[in-house]
Amino acid sequence: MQILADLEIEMMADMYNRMTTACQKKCIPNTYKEGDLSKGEAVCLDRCVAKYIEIHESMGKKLTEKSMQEQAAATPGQS
Amino acid sequence: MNQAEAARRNMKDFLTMYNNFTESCFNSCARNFNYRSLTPEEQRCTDRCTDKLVNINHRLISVYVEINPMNRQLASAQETPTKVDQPQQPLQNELQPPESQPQPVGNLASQVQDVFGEGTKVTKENSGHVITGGADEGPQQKG
Repeated sequence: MQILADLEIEMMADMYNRMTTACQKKCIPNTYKEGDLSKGEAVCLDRCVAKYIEIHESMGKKLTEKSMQEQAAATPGQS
Repeated sequence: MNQAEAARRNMKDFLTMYNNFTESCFNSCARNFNYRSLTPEEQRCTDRCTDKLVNINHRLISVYVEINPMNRQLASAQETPTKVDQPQQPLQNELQPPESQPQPVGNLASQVQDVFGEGTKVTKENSGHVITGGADEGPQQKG
């Protein structure tokens, strides 16, 4: 459905924004001695993005699992 | 239309919660940037983090639902006594079922303190119900 697609785009954009702030916090010290990225920072950012997306996916699986469990638990209870 | 709107809002809330959880668990658990993929320790941490956040969410919702309607019920109980649903199982030790008679504010205060902790005060000004927080601000309502 169109609504779901729109929501997904919106949420992906939100996830991207959160990811950039999180990775900046983790990988880039606040001292800003120079404008170019050092090799360590670049590598850290790569790995940060990979980890964030991996966490995002595994959490998505877990959450859908749980909500299906809850639905399955709720349905037989209804009379 | 209303149903579609409500469904959309629900889905959006779920997805926002999903993003919040991902961010929280990433900030807490992702520590080892020597590797591109998650280490087993980080994976375990993420699993536990997810479970915990889901449980936190459930508990917050159930407590909030308990507390919030009570304020309104107090207001409406001034006019006519009403019957209120029993609180959920895990909370029965902490909260007592509200009586149909208008309750003195002190009763509500002790129940709120049980949930929100020491120092949370419930004051009733005029006909309003204002909860002033202890450690952090509790929900504020003016009836």
